[in-house]
Amino acid sequence: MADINEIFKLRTNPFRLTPTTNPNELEWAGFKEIKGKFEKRIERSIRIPNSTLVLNWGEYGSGKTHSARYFNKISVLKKLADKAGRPVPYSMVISLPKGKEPIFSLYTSIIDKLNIEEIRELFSDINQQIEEYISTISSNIHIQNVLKGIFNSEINHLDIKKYLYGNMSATDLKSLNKYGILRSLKDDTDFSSIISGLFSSLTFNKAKYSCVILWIDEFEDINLLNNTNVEKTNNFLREILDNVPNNLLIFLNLTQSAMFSSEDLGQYIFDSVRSRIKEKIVFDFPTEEMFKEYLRELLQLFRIEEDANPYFPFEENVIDKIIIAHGKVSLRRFNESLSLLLELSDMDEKCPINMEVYDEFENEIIWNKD
Amino acid sequence: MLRVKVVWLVLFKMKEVFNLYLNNCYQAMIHENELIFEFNEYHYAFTFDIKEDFEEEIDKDFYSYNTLDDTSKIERLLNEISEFTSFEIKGYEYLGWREDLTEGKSITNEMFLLIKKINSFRKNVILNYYTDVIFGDPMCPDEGNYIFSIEISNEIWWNIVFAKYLIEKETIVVEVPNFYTVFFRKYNPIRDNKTLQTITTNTKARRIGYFKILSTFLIETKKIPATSINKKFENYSLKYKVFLEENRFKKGLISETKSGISAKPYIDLAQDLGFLNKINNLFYPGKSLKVYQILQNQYSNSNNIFELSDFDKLFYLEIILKKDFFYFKCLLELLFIEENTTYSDLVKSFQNQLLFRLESFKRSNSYGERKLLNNIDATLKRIKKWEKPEVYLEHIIMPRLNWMLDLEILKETNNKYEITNIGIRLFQHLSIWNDINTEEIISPDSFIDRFMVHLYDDCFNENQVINPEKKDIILDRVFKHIEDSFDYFKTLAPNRVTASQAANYTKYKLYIEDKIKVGYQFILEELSKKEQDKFIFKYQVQYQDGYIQKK
Repeated sequence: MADINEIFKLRTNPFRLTPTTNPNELEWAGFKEIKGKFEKRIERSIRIPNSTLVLNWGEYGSGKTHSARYFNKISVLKKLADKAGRPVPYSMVISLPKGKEPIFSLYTSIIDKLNIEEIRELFSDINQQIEEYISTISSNIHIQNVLKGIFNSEINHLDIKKYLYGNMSATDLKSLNKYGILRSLKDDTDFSSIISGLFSSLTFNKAKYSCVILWIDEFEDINLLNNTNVEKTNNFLREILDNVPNNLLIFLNLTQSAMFSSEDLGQYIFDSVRSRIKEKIVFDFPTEEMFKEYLRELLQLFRIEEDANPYFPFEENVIDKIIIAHGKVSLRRFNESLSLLLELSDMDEKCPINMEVYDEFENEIIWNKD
Repeated sequence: MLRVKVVWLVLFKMKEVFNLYLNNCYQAMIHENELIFEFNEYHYAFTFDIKEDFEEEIDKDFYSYNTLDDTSKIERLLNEISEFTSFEIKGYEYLGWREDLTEGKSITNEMFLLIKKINSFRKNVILNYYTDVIFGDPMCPDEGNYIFSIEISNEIWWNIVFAKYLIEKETIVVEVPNFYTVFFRKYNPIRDNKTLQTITTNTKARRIGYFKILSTFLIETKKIPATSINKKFENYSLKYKVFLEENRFKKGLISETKSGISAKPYIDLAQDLGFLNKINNLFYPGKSLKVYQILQNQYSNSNNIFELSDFDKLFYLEIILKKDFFYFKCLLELLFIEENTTYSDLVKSFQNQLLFRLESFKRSNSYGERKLLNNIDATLKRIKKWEKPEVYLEHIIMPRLNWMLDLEILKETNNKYEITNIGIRLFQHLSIWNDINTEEIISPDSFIDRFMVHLYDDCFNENQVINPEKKDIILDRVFKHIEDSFDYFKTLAPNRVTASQAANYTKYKLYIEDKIKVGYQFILEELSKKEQDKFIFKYQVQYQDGYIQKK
């Protein structure tokens, strides 16, 4: 087998079939328009104190999860924040929970990602103001005390985390009594109040975090939930949008899928949530030009040695041929074909990848899944 | 003495019948344990058992393709056999000829016409009937023969009047419309999902017009809580009561009750038919009903809401065939065979008809999927367990009879139900579907997706619509309607419509407005073609639907 570095002049095979979880490997190539839309949306939330709900639509494999992970990268967010002259957003990506208790799962995912030590340190200079602010954001004194506890360094950070998870025994709970925390968190209202309060506090005055960005991936799975959980999920979204009036940006990733009995997910998303949707960002099938631009940029990002041909190791007519053979398909389908073609050529030590190579492997790399 | 006389008499009658057949057939022969009279259209086959005394030293030549020239061989046969065991009438189609045929041959229709003929001579003399594919000698393989067989009860085997009646020349050929020809010629079966679908009905849900009312009700309310839909729909329907009382059909009325129980059978049925979709305890109009709602104003106008327009009939018949094929077709079959019958006669024979049909599915799919067989077994078990069939059957037969009246498949005079020409033609179409696949269709979705509009035009409109010759003209209209559908079927996603809604909308528009008949399947196929550059169409098999975007 040939060496992919030497022969193809690439760091590694650039065509990933599922987005990487390692932020360092996450790159953005082409698709400037979509990238611009996200940047604008995020930048606006960084600058303006306003909460927003955005729907991202696209086919399977069109790049929704990739976008979520890419825009969750600290370096990417920092660039946008610097441009606006504000602190970095507090961002996270979670998948829509499909279990019995979706709100508790959502809540748990958010707490999982909460680094209390780091936050306490970051907020140490404005502790007093945060405490005062927390007293104003909810009429629920218990919730206020829990939120204050998160920021209060007197309480061991592991204790408060344990409390937030609901794992604290009745005896241990006594140690928190003096901070006004007298009972455990028990229902969905508690969980959504904590999340709302937490998001509001983190973005207080845009002092430490300019906004909170919450990506909920695989939101189309809402149609798999039972009636009660559809309602709970909708209510949760409505509540946090209502209770975090400022500085919250929620992206819902939805796959375009047909359904048996209804025409789309519209009926699963209540009017109360739907009316809060500010923008819909669509991941359309790439046009020929979009795809070629993406490919040039992607190869460039992985290149270790320059080449006069921007598509190297592929010849341009091979790319054109693949685009024609596929017609309108998702980016993932293109990636699959190119990835296979690259691997097969590597095995047979064929470089550059020209029409002759393509013809040889055509049946293996172009197929119709429908 | 008496016994001898009886035997002599039977023998006399037997010979009389055989002589008649022999003199009128073009060929007769004895082969193995069969005595066969071959007429142009059909073969009459008697099977027999040999007397024990002859079994040992049987003359094998006599029982191997032995052509009969005169009655002497029959005499010898009668001497050697102990009894005749069955009499079947069979019709054949050699499948090897399909690829060259210019029009389809409908074995199933021939079978039913013959059944009808026999039935009008005397009722209850048919023991069994079925179609099958049989292959010749495994040593010289052929394409196989697609056959029908009708087994006749021995009570009229030797009835000379019956025998004469049977051989009377009648041209009973059912014309197979030419849009089916290509499917016969290809001999490439159309997909049958083989899921036995039935819907539960209540005897009160009789008038199709109430679904028209439900449709307007949902245009006004959009969505409605599950807890209050019965009562609210009941109240809404009351203003239409006057139309129904004027109408010929008074049953199935929604009248005022405290709880809304009078509307409940219709709401339940609407859910089963997919007109209502329940999400989180709210009812919304289902996918298909939304298409109906868009076209209702234009194409469903009548002074009396219970009268059905062409569009109404096309729409509701299609849904009923899709969701209720089994019960609906079984009932239609009985009505076709009986011609003129009463409700109480139908009740008497329907349970057996259902069991007979299910057993026949089971037999012909005995090597089929486990899931289907379980499905059939469960239905069989359920039907056998009916303790008071007449009570159950009212809930099955009454609504369907009334839908058929609404759809003009039937007419009723003095409590007698008679199938109309529309009904006869409809039954013939459904029979042709079996012939295309050379087996009985269990789930007809793919047939409906291809032929529904053609079938409708042929049954209800004497096949009057003739498509423009140039395909471009048709395609122009197809794409125009698809384009328009984006204004009517907005979804949460921008620039996107659900394929089934856009394509069905287009199909109805084409037929009613442009006088062009195309199948739903045709529209999807045209959208899938690579040359088509107006829309992006994606289909997901698992949902049997997809979506369309403008490019």
